Amino acid sequence: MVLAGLVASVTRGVLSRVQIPVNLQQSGLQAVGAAGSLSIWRSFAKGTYLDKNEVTDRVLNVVKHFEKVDENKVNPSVNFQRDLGLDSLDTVEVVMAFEEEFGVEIPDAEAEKILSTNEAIEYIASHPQAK
Amino acid sequence: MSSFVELKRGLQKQRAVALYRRSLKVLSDWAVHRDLFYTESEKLRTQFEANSTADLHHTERLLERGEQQLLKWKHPDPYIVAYAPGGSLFQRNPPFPPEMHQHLDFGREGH
Repeated sequence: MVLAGLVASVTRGVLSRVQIPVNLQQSGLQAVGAAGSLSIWRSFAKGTYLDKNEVTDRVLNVVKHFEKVDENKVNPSVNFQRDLGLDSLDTVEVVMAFEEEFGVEIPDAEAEKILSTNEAIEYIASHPQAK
Repeated sequence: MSSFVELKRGLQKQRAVALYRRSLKVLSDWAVHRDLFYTESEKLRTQFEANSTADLHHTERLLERGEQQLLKWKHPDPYIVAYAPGGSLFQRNPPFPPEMHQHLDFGREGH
């Protein structure tokens, strides 16, 4: 009995000192921004852009592991056909490898224009659904 | 005359590259297992390389035949990336129009 009274007094003491901030909003209306980032013209899936350094690393990794490429020549601004000595069919294969690496779908018109690591990095870094 | 030949050659090269790209995609639709895909893509590559030194008319005919083959080998259920047109995530969760507001006042409706 005494113990219960003691506990009650301790609880009251604690509660009188604990302060919980109460937010009284008179309007009751909270406006929340639109869902996700807006990349309407591409698709409506949620878009997050990859970091450019990460994209550069992964792109160079893919190019270096390509069997016909000399690893030492690879740098972020190298042209596939001129500097690395790749064929146009090899360029197609490299672009397919980029598509698989990042899980993007590059349309044919854009894929024809990717002829160097520079362009590939720019394209992927500006693609909202690149993983 | 030679500039016409060069122009035509350039166009054929573009067509050949596009054909190679599409045929690789079709091949990856059919040959899902990766080692199989690699062996078959080697064969495809040798076919393309073997005809690379043909003259103008011959390449024209080869390209036409190649495009017909592509149509013949088209996959009924191709692999499409999910958020690309034709994929399952395409336009799946469209964002709200900016005029709409979200009221997060559960339990306080009517106040």
